Amino acid sequence: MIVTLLGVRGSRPVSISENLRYGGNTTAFKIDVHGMPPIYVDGGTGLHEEGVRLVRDGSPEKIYFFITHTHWDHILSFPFFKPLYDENCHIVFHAPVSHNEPFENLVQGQHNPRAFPVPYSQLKAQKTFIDSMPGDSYELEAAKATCIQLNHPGTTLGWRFETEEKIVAIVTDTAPIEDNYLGEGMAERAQADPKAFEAQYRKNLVAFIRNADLVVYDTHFTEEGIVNRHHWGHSTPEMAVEICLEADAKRLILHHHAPEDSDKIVHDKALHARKKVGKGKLQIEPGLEGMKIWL
Amino acid sequence: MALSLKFYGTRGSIMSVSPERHLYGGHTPCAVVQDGEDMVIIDAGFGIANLGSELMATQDLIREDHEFHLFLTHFHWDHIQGLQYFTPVYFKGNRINVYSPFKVEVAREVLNLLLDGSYTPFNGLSSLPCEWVFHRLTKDVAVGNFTVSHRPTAHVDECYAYTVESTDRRMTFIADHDAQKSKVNDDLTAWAKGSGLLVHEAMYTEEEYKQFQNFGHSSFNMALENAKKIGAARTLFYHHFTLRQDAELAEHENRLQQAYNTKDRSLCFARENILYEVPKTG
Repeated sequence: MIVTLLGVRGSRPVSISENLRYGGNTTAFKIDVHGMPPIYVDGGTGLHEEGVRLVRDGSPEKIYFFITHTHWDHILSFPFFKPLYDENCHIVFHAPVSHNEPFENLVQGQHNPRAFPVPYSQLKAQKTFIDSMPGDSYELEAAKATCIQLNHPGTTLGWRFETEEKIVAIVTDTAPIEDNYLGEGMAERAQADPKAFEAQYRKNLVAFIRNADLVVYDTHFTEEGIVNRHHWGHSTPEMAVEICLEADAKRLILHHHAPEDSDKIVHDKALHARKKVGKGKLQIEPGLEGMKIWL
Repeated sequence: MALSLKFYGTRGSIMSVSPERHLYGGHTPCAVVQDGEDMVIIDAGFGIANLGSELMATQDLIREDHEFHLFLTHFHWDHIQGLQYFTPVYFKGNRINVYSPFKVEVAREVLNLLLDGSYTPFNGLSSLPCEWVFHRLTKDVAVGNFTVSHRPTAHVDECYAYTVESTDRRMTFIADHDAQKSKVNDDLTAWAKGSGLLVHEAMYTEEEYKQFQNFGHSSFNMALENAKKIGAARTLFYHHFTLRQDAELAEHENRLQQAYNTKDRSLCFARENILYEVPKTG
């Protein structure tokens, strides 16, 4: 299994000298599993050049997409993703439904004639849209994908990919749950017994990450930065570390760097997180655009 | 102070993020025309987020009761997608005036789609704390000591060029535009004459233009011909092709400068965060 980080920046893409090292493109990952079509998670700006490369090298016949959620920074590249214009390519999307709006409608919305010059009808690829609900699970050629609802406005899904040998969990975007119910339907479900709801949510999240060889986690904020901003829907490295340790995960990638975070801040976030863990238990690295991780 | 222009986004279509494409800028279009207290923003691509951060860092006044004047050339994503990241929209009492020759309903509809609850954590324009005031432009409009006028460009959809004029200086901003021979192009170049500074889009090489000409953009040579016709003392090309690297942009820039520059006129490829002074007219 090879995981490639195509975009690690959160909220919006940035191109400023202070954060070019870790990269300014928004969320997109590629997961290569031997014996099956490529898997992509999200379509932030990190996906754009990947589409150019794919078409240059000959598009694969089939591509899987797993979408965490449909906020702009996670889907910006689709109108520019060249394989979508290739009639010989079959693209299978698995995406959450936020506010009763299926993902296909949102992709069509990106081609609104006032806002984009190429009509949706030009996307000649064979497209399959699967509306994913929290808890759904998919048996693919050589991997299993499962999802869980995360704590972020709208419906946001964490995705876990499992092969016979390895496990990867993508947990973005997400906020701490304590007294902070952001996901669609969460406030209603928490109403009867908030503490029990929080405990169950956390238990599910730990089980979802359990024994993962790699966890990619939303660590947008520092501990100081998150004060009064829990409702923005993001976490800190310390929160990610705590969950990963509880779940016996092996390796943690800090992801969704705040747009204003310089390379130094991102670097320091990882340093602080490592100090908290101590040696040997959990390997922690800041997400670096272009990084390939062989598992 | 004198009339000046600063780009916060110079790149067309989609953000371009790479150390190899950083020099000429990677953010989608946004520019600020300013003279002292008077300020006009042209377009709200991702560059406008950095303008917001800069204002936050330097001016407390944007936290409340401050008025902004945003002129939109058109409503393609790359020209509006930064709006929700422009920090002043999060402060109650700030007023964002949005100007364009489009019907107000169209402007509202596209911006509400941008801010739709499925694409963002918000739910349309009215869910943000600032006040939105939409203006449909039918004639010249005064903003402080500026006069702003507009003309249509030739693009795939409606799109408009703007001039900003102060007492003794004039700047013309030609956003997305296909400068092949047409009445629109003739009218546009005639109207832009007498500007001290011209901003003109120049996205394609000649070969790329042949391939992509139905997208409504100009080639370098076509933009150069327009620059000659308009004859501004200073011309800036922008809306750089997304994946064109700095080295290649620099080559084209040098080549075009050699063909164009004289003692009375000069040409540059726009970069972000440089203050370009608008020369006096005449």
